[in-house]
Order: sequence, then C-alpha cells, then structure tokens
Amino acid sequence: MKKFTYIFALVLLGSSSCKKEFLDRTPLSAISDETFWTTEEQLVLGINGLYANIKASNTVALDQLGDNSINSTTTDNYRILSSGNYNVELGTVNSEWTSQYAGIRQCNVFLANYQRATAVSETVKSQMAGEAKTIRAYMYMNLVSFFGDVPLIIKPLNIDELNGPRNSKKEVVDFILTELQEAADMMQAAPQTGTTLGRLSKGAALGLRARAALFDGRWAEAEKSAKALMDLNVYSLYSTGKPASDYYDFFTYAGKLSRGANKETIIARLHLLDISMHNISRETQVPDQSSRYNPTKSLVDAYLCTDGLPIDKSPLYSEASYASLWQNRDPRMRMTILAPNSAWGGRRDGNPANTNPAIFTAPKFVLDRQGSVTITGYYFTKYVEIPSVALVSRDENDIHVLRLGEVLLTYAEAKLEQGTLTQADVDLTINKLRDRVGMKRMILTELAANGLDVRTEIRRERRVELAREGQRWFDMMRWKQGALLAADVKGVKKSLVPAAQVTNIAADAQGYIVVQTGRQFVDPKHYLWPVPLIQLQRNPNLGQNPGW
Amino acid sequence: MEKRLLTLILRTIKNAALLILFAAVPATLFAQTKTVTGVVLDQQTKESIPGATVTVISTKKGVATDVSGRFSITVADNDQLLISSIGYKDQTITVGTQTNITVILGNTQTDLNDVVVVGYGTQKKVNVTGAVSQVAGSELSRRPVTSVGSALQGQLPGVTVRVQRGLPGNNGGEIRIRGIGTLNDASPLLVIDGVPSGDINILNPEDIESVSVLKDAAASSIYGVRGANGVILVTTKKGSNNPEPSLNYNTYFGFQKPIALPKYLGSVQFMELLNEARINAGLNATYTPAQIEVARNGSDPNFFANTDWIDEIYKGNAPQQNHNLNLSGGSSKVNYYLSYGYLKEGGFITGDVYGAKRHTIRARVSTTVLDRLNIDATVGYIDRAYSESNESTNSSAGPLSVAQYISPLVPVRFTNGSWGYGGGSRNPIAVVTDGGYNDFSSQELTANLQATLNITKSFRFRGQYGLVRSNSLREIFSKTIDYVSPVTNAVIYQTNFPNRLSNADYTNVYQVANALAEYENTFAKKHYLKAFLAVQTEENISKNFDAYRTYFPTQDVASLPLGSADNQFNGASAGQNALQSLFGRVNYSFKQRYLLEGNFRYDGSSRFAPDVRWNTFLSGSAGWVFSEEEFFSPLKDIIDLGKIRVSYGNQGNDKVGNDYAFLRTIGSVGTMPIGNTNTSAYRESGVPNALLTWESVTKQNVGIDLSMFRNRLGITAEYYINNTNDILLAVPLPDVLGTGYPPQNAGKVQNKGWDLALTYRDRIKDFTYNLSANLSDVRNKVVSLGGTPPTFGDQVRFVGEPIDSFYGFVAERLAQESDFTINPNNPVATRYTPNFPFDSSFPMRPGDVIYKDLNGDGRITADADRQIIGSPIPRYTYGFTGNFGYKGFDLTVFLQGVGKANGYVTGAARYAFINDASSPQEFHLDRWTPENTGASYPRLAYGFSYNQRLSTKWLEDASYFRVKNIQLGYTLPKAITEKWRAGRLRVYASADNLFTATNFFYGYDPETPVTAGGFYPVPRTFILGLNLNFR
Repeated sequence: MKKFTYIFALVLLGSSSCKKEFLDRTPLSAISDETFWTTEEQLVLGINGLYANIKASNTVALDQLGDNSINSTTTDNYRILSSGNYNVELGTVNSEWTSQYAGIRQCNVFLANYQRATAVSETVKSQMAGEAKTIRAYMYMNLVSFFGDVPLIIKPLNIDELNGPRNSKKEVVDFILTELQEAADMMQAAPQTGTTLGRLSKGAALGLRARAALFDGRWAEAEKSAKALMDLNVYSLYSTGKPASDYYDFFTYAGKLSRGANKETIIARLHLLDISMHNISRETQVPDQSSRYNPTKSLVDAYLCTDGLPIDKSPLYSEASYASLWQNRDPRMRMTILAPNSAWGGRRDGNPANTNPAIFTAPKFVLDRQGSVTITGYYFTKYVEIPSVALVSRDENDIHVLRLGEVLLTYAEAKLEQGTLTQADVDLTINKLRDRVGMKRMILTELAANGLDVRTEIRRERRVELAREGQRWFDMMRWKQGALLAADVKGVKKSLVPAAQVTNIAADAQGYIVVQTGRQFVDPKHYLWPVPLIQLQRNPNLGQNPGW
Repeated sequence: MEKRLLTLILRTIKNAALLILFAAVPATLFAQTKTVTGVVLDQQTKESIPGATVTVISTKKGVATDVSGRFSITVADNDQLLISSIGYKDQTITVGTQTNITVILGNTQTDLNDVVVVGYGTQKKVNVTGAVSQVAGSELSRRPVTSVGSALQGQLPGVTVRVQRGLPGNNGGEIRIRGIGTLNDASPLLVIDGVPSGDINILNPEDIESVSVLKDAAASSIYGVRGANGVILVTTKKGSNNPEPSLNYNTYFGFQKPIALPKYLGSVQFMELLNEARINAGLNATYTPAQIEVARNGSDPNFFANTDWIDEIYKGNAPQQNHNLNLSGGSSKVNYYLSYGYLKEGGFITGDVYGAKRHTIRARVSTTVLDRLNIDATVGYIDRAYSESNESTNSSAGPLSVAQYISPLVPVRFTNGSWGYGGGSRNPIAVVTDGGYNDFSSQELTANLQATLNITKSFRFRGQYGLVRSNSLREIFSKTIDYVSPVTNAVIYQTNFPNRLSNADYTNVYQVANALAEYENTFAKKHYLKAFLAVQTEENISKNFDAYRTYFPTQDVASLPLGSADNQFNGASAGQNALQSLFGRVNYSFKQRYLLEGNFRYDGSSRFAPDVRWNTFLSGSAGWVFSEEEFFSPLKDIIDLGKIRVSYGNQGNDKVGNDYAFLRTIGSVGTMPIGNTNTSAYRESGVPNALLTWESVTKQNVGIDLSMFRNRLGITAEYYINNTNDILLAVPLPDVLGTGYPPQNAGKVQNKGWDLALTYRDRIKDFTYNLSANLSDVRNKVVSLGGTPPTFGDQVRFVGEPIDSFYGFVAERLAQESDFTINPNNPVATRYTPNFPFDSSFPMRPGDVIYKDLNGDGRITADADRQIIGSPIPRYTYGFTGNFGYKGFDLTVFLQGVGKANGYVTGAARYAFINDASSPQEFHLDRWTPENTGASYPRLAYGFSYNQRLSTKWLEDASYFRVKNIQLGYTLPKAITEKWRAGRLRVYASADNLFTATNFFYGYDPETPVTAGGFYPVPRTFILGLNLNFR
C-alpha cells in the first residue's frame, strides 16, 4: 500500500514539472511594456494619452481664485481658496498636487521609453518628445505657481525614490525654461492640422516659455520667447472683420480649432460633441439655480470707457442705470459680461415685465427655480454658447489654454518691466487686441497726459483681455496684489436692480451689494498654497510653506 | 459523500481491529450455526451505516458492515449480537429464528459525535483538533433570508456578518472570520462541495446540508495561500439510502419594510433654516418672507410645494415569495437529491424597476459501483436576475441619496403633469419611475464530479473535477426624461440626453481538478493513522465585453441596433489566474485519547513573479480527550466528554486585487479628441512590484470542548492569536509617484480573541427546548506598517491601534457668547474673538464646537489635535437561538447583536446645509441659537465645515441588540395529514429584524456603521410559510 503512495507522490512531482507553463498567465487585456514602444503607431498612442493632462474647463474655473468672479456654491474649493479661509486639508490643494504629478509621470514614462522605437525616424520622435516635454513643463508651471518649491521629478520613479525634499522654485523654473527651449527646437513651426489637430508645435513651447518667464519676472527671457513666437508668423488674432462679435465668437463654437477660422489659439483643450464635452455654458447661466460664475464689481469696474479712461476719470461713465454701466465702455465688456437686452439662456430674469425668456433685461437674485440667479448682479456671456445653456454638459467649445493674445500682452509687459516699451511695441501688441474689438488705441503719451500709470494700464489690459481665461490669480500673485483678495466681494449697486429682487441682500455704505465678507489674505502665507497635509504626512522631508 | 466515506473508514478500522483480535479464536468451538444477513440503519436519517461492528457476544467474533450497511455473520440460534458504531447507542439483538435482520441505531445525541466537514474530508467532532464551527443548513433556511451569507449572521462564534445593503437580489452580507486579519480583502475563502469557487449568496439556502467554518491554522492551512482569512465550507444536500422517496414542498409569502428612515423637515422650516444658515455664514438669505408665506399657504404648488421625498421614494412594502420543491431517496447503492427553488423579491422603492428573481436547480446523485468505486455527481444551475434604477441605487448620486437632500419645495409633479424639477438635483421619483433601469441577469452552472476508488480497506484514491461557469448580462437603459415647465410648457431640463443603452456581458470559467491518495489504518488496536497526499490545479478565466449606443428613437424598446449608428462604443477586458498545489495531511491518534494532526500545502500562484511564486504552508495540532483518562472517571457523571486542543500554523493570502501586479503593462485610456475625432491612447497601468508575494498569517489556537450533564450541555471555548505578516497593501505613497499605489508586502496586524459557544437541550414531558448561544470578541491591532507612513484621514492605520480606527478631534462643548470677546462696534466678520483654541482658517461664532487643544499650543490644527477616538470593528458579537416545542407547536427565537462598535454618520445624512445638497432633519431644529444655548446641534452655518469635522461629538455608538427573528409554527397532527397522504404539514409565521435596541443615529441601521446615507436599507420582513412533506 505504501508503494502506491510512493508512486502517487512520484506522479505528482512529475506532473509538477510542467507547473511553470501552467502558472505563467499573461495579461489578457493589457499589453506588456516589453513589447510596446516599438512602432510609430505605438508612440502616437503613447503621446495621445498625455493630452488628457491639459486642463479643460478647469482653466475657466481657475479664474475664480482671483477677484474676477465668484462661485455661488460656498463649498466650491476655488471660492474657499480665494477667501483665504482654508487650511492644509483643503481637497483641491491636494488634488492639484496629485494630478500634476500624475501628468508629469506620464510624460516621464514617454520620455524614458520613446527612444526604444529604433525604427522610427528621429524627426518624428523629436517632435513627439518636444510635445511631451512641453506638457511636462506646463504641469510644472502649475506646480510652482501653486506651491513654490516642489520636487523636480524628471524620470519615472520607483516606490523607494519618493521621499526626496522639494527643489527650489528657481531650480524648477530654470528647468522649465531650459526644457521649453529644447522642446521648441524639437518641434515643427507650423501648427498641427488634420488628424493631428490639437497636438502641440513650436509655438506652444515658446508661448508657455514666455508665460513661465513672465511669471518668474525673467523679463528678457519672456520678451525673447514671446518675440520668437510672434516671429513664427503662423499665428494671427481671430478676426473676421466683425469687431462687435469676433472676441465673443472666438470663445464659442465658431472659434473651435476644427472649424478652421481660428489661427490665434496655440494650445487648446479640444472638445467634441458626444465624445468630450463640458458644462461651462450651463454653469454660467443655469436657468433654475444660482450661476456658478458671478462677475464681480471689481472686474466690471476694470473696463475702460471708450475714451480710454478708467471709470473714475472718464466723463463718459454713468451709473444712472443698470444698462448705462455698459454704455461707452470697452467693447470687450459686453462681450464678456452679459449686458441688458442681450440674448441669454438663463430664462426668466429679475424683471417681471420681461416676457421674453431669450432676452436678458435685469438681474435676478430671488431663487424661484425659474431663471438664472446671480449673487453679484452680473452674469458672464464670454464662453457661453447660448443654445447649450439648456442642456447639461453638452458644451463642445474648445478651452483656449494659450493664445496669441496672451503672448502679445506678455511681450508688452516684459518690455515695460525692462523699461524698453515703445509706442511701436504697444501698437504691435495691445493695439492689435483693441483694434480687433474697435476699442480706442492705447497711446503712451495720452496715458501720461491723463495721469495714468503705464504699468497699471498694461496690467488692466491683461486682466480685461484674458478675463475668464484662468490667468487672473496667477497675475495677482506675481504682482503681489494679494491684499485685494482680502476685501469683501462686491456686486452691483443695489439701487440699479428691481427692488423686489434685493430685499434680503446686504449692501455696503455706498449701496453696493456685499456678496462675501470675512475674507483674509495673510502676507506671505497666502501667496502660496500649503503643501497638502496628506503629502507632508507621507513625506515630512517636503517641509511646509511660510505661514502654514 | 465525504462524510459517509470517513464514517466508513473509521468503522472499517474499528472492525479490522476486532477482526485481528478475534481471528485467533478457533471457529471449531461453535456448533449449530447458521448465516444471518442484515442491514444497519440510522434511526433519524434511515441511511445505512457502513463500518458498524456486529459482534457475536458469546464468541466475541465480529464483522463490519459494508459501504451499504450490510453484514453477514455466522451465529448459533441462541446467540446475541452486539451492534455498535461510533456516535450511536450500542444495541443488543437476540437472533432467534431470524435470518435477515434490520438494525436501527439511535444517535447518542452528543455534539462531539457529530461529523464535521473539514478541508478535503470529514472528521468526528470528537477527533477534531482545529477550530471548526458548523451550522446545519436547516438553521440557515429557517429565516426568510435569501442569501446564505446573511443567514450566517449570529450563527457561529467568531464569524461576523454585516448586512449593509438590502437591494433585492444583491443583499449578501460581508463575512469576516475572527476579525479583520488584513488591510486588504479580508473575505474568507469559499469552498462549495470541495470546489473553492462560487458565490455563497446566490445559493438556495434550502439546498444546504451544512456550513462549516475553519477558523484556525490547523483547520484551514490545508487551503494554503488562500486560507488566511478563514475558510467557509458549504456542503450541499444529497439523497438518502432510504428506498422510500421523500417529497418536500416549502414555501412562504411575505413582505419587507425598511427598518429605519430619516425624517426631513417641510418647506417652511426648510426655508427659514436655510436663511438662518446663510446669514450665520455671512451670506445673503435665499428666501424672502413673501416666498416663505407662499410656501406656507401652498399657493404655488409648482415652485413652492411641500414634498416629503423620503415618504415618496419608499412605498409601503415589498412583496417576497419563495417556493422550494425537492425530492430525495435512493437504494443501498444509489441515492439522489433533486431540487428546484424559486425566489421572487420586490423592492420597496417607488416605481417598478426594483426586484429580483432566482431559479435554482440542483441534482446530486451518488452511486457505488462494484463495491469499490463510489461516484458522486452534482449539477447545479442558478438563473437569477435583479434590477434597479439606472442611476446606481447605493451611489452618492443615486435616487436614494437625492431623496435625502432634494429641496421639499420641489413638487413630485408640476400641475401640468410633468415631473417636477427645481434645479440642482434630478427628481428622484422621476428617476426611479421613468429614468430607465439597470437589469442584471446571470446564469451560473456548477458541475462537480467526485470519484473514490477503494483499492483496499486502508487505501483509496479520490479524484475530483469541478467547473463553475457563469455568464452575466448587464443591460442599462438610461432614458431621457423631459421636464416641462408648468408656466411655458417648454422643456426646461432634460436628464440623460441623449438616451443610452449599454450592454455588458461577463463570462467567467473556473476549473479545478485534484487527485488524492489516502491511507488509513489502525495498528495494535490503539494506533490510528490516516494520511493523504494530493495535487490540485485551478484556473480562472474571466472575459467581458460591453457596448453602447445613444439616441434611441423610442424608449419603449431597448435593443442596441435601434440606437444611432453614429458613435457606437464598445470595450472589453479579460483576466486570468491559476494556482497549482501539492498538499497533504497526517492524523495520528492513540487510543482515541491523544490526537495529533499535521498539514502541509505547497502552493504556486500565477499572481506573483516566477521567482517568488511558490511557498509552503504548515500547521500542527494536538488534542487530549482527558475525559477518557482513568483518573477522570469520578467526574464522568457530570462531564461526559472533555477535550483540550492546541494548534499552530501558517497560511497565506494572495488576493492582491490585480492578477498582474508584478508585471509592467500598458493599457488603454481616454484622452482629448485629437484631430476632431475620438482618440485612442495608451498608458502605463501603474507601477509593478516584482517582489510582491503573498501575505502570511500565523495562527495559534487553544480550545476546550465539553459535553456535560448527560450531553445536555455542550461548551466550546477557544482563544486565539493571529498574526498577519507581509500584509498585501496598496500603501498610500507620496503622490510624486504620479500613479496608483502598487500593492506591497507591508506591515503586520494582530487579532487576539476568543470564541465561546454553548448549547443546552432538554425535554420536560411534551415540552422540548434547545438553546444555543455564541459570543466572541476580537481585538485588532496594527503591529507594524512595514516602514511605510501611517494612513491619515477620518479613519487611520496607526501602529498599535485597530485597523481603520476613527481619528478625530475631541469635542468639548458648544461655544457660548461668554466664550468670546465681543466688539459690538466691529462688522460681523471681526466682531467675535474666541477665548478658546480654534483654527484661524475658520471664523468662529457662538454655537460652534470647541475642540480640545490636545498639544496645548493654543490653536486647533488637523495634524496635532486629533487622536484615535473609536473603532468600527465590532467587538463582543453574539447570537442566541432558542427552539421550543410543545406538541405540535414550535417557536424559535433568534437574537443577535454587537456589544461594542463605533460608527460615523456623515455628509448629508447627518448635517444640514454643509453644501447645496444637505437638507435639515427634525433633530436639526435643536440647533444652537442665542435663544437655545443648550442645543444638541451647533449653529447652522451654510457651508461652514469646522463643526462637522470628525470628532467625539459625531462618533456613534454602533452597538446593538436585535431580535433578529421570531418564528412560530404549528405542525398538524398526523391523524389529519395522513388523510391527505401527507407525511407532515407545518404552517408558520416569521418576522425578521423585528426589534432593535441601539443608541445609533435614528435614521440608519447600526449594521451600516459608517455611512453618508442614500443606500437601500436593510429590511424588516414578515412572512407566512408552509412546509409540506410526502413520503
């Protein structure tokens, strides 16, 4: 009997010799890394994935970190960040950290592997590597703006390499500028079209480089890259000869890259019906709730009058009625902030006499679920495609992340800060933007004559032109204007709107609606976000930012 | 089959020993002899008893019964036969003139003589040296519980079941054996009739003979790399050798209601409190007094309605019915069991999408061929379906969550008949009524073939092949709902536009084959030896495919080809894993008094890299039946049987969560539409860990089994220490990593605890009763995190503390005006300066929570002022079952509970106005105001999160005592039933989850201790049933 046992055991051991094959189970629905990174097609699939990291409608939402607009949702993280009433645990602080590093890893993985495709031509590989480097630099630009010093990770890390300290902001910015120059040299000058429409080219690297240098006060570098981009001569402002609507149209479906008319956008987050959509139009003029995007008095007041003078100096400015606020103002105001008697998607407005839900006549403060409510008295129209207000998440406008307009402003500011700004520079930049909308040109001598500060006016131009494009907070931080964020958020003068709408609404001594009070901005603490608590707990070597 | 086999083996051994003993006695001493044949049967089951000893008393000559319980022996007319078998009362029979004798043996009624199912075999409880608890299937099918997992709750010491979701067709409990031994998937291995695969919660409880739970290493290390979290062995019913077939029909009808529901406030109070909360937060009020008046007088039913959404979304009750028909019988060589079950459950959510159906068919046939080969075949087929709303019911955006926070101002329907809509959230009643459905249907086929070949009395081969194949389809139709304005009759809102139908098909094929050689013998009458050696291979391959289309022109017919041909989407995924094993066991006992057992298993798992794929798991155990010792005889009157046992061993867990965690792979991801078209993209699928290996658990157990007072009282008590090492865990890492956290072998967890089980049964004239109780405790502790940082959050993993302990502030009280320095001339924003530690990120007011400044730095910070404040791991879990019988009446009372646990009700379930999606409940009326300073709830402040941070203030006591089930039955007298040719007719009424005593938050059940609400509640069930037997 024991013999049987022995035989059996031998059979067992014999059968286990084939165990290796039996247990070698390969993945059934994933590709092994060993066989990937070989063909051009595979590299394209790899590079495509990196584009998911370019901020989409989030770019627009970021504007609410600054003083241009405010979210009606009190728990909105951008609103909370803007108010200064937050701590090291705030969700967005950590999610920005995490999502930027996720994108950085994806770029690092591509850059660490693409050379394995030895059969693919160097030109093709170089173009793709340039794209990956540009996207990676874009993510580092977000990181240094939010956090200052951050770990500089330039290769895919293993899990035992994660506990390093932060690199200095200077070191990271140096890296960004070097990388973007390198990327610019690797990529084609002509914007990509056809089946690669939306992928990056030389201008993207140059434009981001100009922005990164400007943000860090490296004026000469900013000027150099902005000029290099302008000299490519492949971008031009979107203008169809309709000054009353071109600027507005640019941010609607008309300005989509795929429609061919837009030669201004350098980096866009593309959208496509049924495939990739966002919800900006509805969130802006939502017809049964409070708008998520409420323009502030601060932004409204920033628009010049048509005589080129600010409202406190211009005789053309009138606060006689709600409608008069738009009269004699920079045309970009009515293409950004919804003016009375404009088309909108918000349905019932604050004027009971208005029976046409397609036309806006007066702001609505009282929530009755039948029309769009504002908390400031203003609504945006820029970036709103009116028919899609009625639909949930059916917007397909491209989100313009970098456009020639910004580069022109960067050039002007860089020149100014170096003391070399000339009227010719202004004509080459700011006045092109003003010409597009039919606004009076900026003349340096006139500014001086009217006692206006050139720097203030250049900055105003940037704020006005780029309103709702996610730049305001970054600019405020580099201009050290944090104190502006501590002020109460104000809205329209109460007397300008139907009284029944504002019975519940608080106002200041001058009669302006007080939208939010109790804000704070501590210098230097609030110039940077805190290192997220959870990251600090996982890696104490990161250290914390001043004041946190 | 295995049970019978083992009984046979044991009896064969005993018999063989007797044969050897009496072989020396010369047969010539006897004269006047004849041959008597007979069969030995079990009194209760009427099954044959193989291996029983039949001894001629005068000559001491004996034989053993064969596999079919038959014997043949030569006797003299005046001889008496002694028939004995372990676990039965001895019986003496005078032969007389009989030549064919049927002997019926009565059971000795000792728990310790029960046969329990263990890994790859059965054992008498008296011989078991590991920690095994077993419950009979009849205990599980008695309650109107549709899943076996849920039915296990409270039945077995050391087995904790939490039934957290009551969705029809999908309401299995979460089972944990002896605490949470891992930071990873802690669910036990399930083995059904020897096949380690399948789903315990889809089995028909009526088909189950017994469920055996292996708790320590001695019992479960035979399952090697999968045994770490304990093992549940399910044995299904088989036929009897009784030639008279038995036909049973069991049915019940009943209905279900939710146990606990939250109470929200009506429109006027909602508006007033919202205004108060907004003003308190420095915001403008939302509603004007005129609007509040409109709500009060009900003059605008479209925009100022007053809807109780909880009342609207839960309808009265959900019907439930269950039918089971089974037929069993056999002969001495063949037996069979055939069953059909049908279960239909309704839902108590408004609309008619909620419901479930299940058909189960099971056939089991066992036969013996040529006296040597025993074949046992089972085929099981389960066809089930359940459906729910297309908006996932238990998700945070599902209709039950929305019903918790949607404004009461919104009407269910506008006056024009359209669904009501008020902005912000979809109408949950519209969603569950017209929004579409999520139908899941699945077919599962189980085939299980076992064969045992008895080469000699002592040596046998066994082989088994098992197949579990499931095929499921999930069909989600998301219908567009138009909301039409009652003012303009225009569509003002649409959900799920375009409409969309998605079909997802899942297939899974699991196969196992094993071969086992077993040797069993007794030497010199007192040395018993049994050993087996086996090999096993298993593989599991799953594939799924999904597709969807949009823009269906009609919402009445759901079929993919009817959708738009543009934008057709499809996807697929697949996975596989395999396991290969060599394992064995040795049992040795001396005089059935000293017991020794050793197990080993050598496992190779495809889930790990080739270099680290194989490992050996070992266990050893010993038992001492001290009641058999000479010195114990004075106590024998009190203690019938006593045994002490100890065990030690190790086991593994290979549930990494990903079959290829050691490989670097590239997978498909979404991206931006490059080139104005849907774009494919590929990306690295996380970081591999080539060093990844199983987690290993070392388990120590000591136990005592007692049977006392003529077997009336049974006691089993055990103490154990389980140490889990190399825990498989996706350790949260610094996120500069940039991708998902790979699983690592990190850290150690210890579980120490004890289990106690008591049974008592007796009879006083016609009154019979039978009580059983169990109580267990487990203390859980993270011993090491393997050098990785602790995990922070509301629930944390800290060394020295239980897994996922609650981590929060210590709330002292609500701040009063006297706690502030007040500057009445300042604007509100700067009027109050707190005189207590606070967090400067949050502007403080009277009515806010004062937290304790634990580190004494004068301020409250998240990193320094939080501590462990509780644990969600249940302690002192208990169950009590009392069965009482008087004449035709029977009563069962089942009580169950948890002695200590913490919970945390969070989000919109607990707080009001923390965001746009949190409405006030009745208890929020007792909020702090300058007039109500003794309030239980802080001041209402819109969006102000400081007061809602996890603190001792919000920690819930999740202990509870529950009357889980009461059942009263009446069996009609035989005199009546026999007229209808029925063997037995019983009618009964049963109530499940009848009563709960708890201090937990009023709106939810303590079995869901951590919740934000918005899930299908655990039901209370009332049924009327019937048991009918024909034989």
